[in-house]
Amino acid sequence: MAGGSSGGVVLIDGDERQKIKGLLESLAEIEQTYVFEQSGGTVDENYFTTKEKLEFFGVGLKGVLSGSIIMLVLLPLMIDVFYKNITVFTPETGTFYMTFDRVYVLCLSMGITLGTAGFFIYISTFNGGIISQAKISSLFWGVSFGFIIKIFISFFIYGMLYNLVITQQNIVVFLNWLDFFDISYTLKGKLYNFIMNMKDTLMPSLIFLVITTIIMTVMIWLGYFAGKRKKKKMNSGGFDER
Amino acid sequence: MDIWYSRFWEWAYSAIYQGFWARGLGTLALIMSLWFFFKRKSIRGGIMFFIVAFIMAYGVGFYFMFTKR
Repeated sequence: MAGGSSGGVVLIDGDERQKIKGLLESLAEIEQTYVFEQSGGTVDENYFTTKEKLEFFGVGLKGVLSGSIIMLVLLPLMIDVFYKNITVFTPETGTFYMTFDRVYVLCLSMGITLGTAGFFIYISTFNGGIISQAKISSLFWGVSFGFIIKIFISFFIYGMLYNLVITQQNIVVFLNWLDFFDISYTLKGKLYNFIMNMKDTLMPSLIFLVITTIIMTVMIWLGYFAGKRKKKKMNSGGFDER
Repeated sequence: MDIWYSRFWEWAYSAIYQGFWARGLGTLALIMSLWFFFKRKSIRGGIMFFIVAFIMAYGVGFYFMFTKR
């Protein structure tokens, strides 16, 4: 079955444990390890194998990238709303409605990413012993790597759109295609303005994305070190931290 | 019959898609979407409510932008 338990809790062997597929499963496993370590159990550092480290790394990477797709698509629209080029809901004037609409599009664009970041910070509170710490750090390295990939992908996509796809020539070709649907010149003019305004929001979106990603990475690692320090203080009385 | 039908949709449009109620329903859909994503861990439910939240905001915004102004 398994060895290494001294606190009465039985650990499951590598062959018997199921592969971690999602963030919730990784949280459950970290919580279990935390409880085991807090109850006085100690395990050798090598118990946490390279394969498991890679699993946690992959879960962190996937968790970040899946939320990033929504952010990547919605950020230019959000900046467009901030620039007052497009309106959300009905075009009503008034400070309250304008502020509400901006907060709404911010939550819509970044809600999932911020929620995921909050989830990782919550996970960092289970930074109890040597194995849970190793699991959390593997997960967070995956998250950090995911953030780097996210920045590169957004540089690539936004750069391509800005320099190659959204050009005056391409827009004219696109609008000519729309002749098939018998669209009026007024609507074509509106579409042209909309697409050109979207082009102007790509670079601010990129800057916004890079800054928020850096802030989130710093917050996650701060949560990790804060959790580590807190548990070290709590355990300094009886629990062997090693 | 046709008049009642069109009146119903006019009422539904003015009641649901305009002003306060659009914002209220959009916010509710967004909260439900995040709740499904993070609390229930249901990707399908989360995406469905997210689409509703998106359409409530940008759908009506685009409609006004390309038709009314």
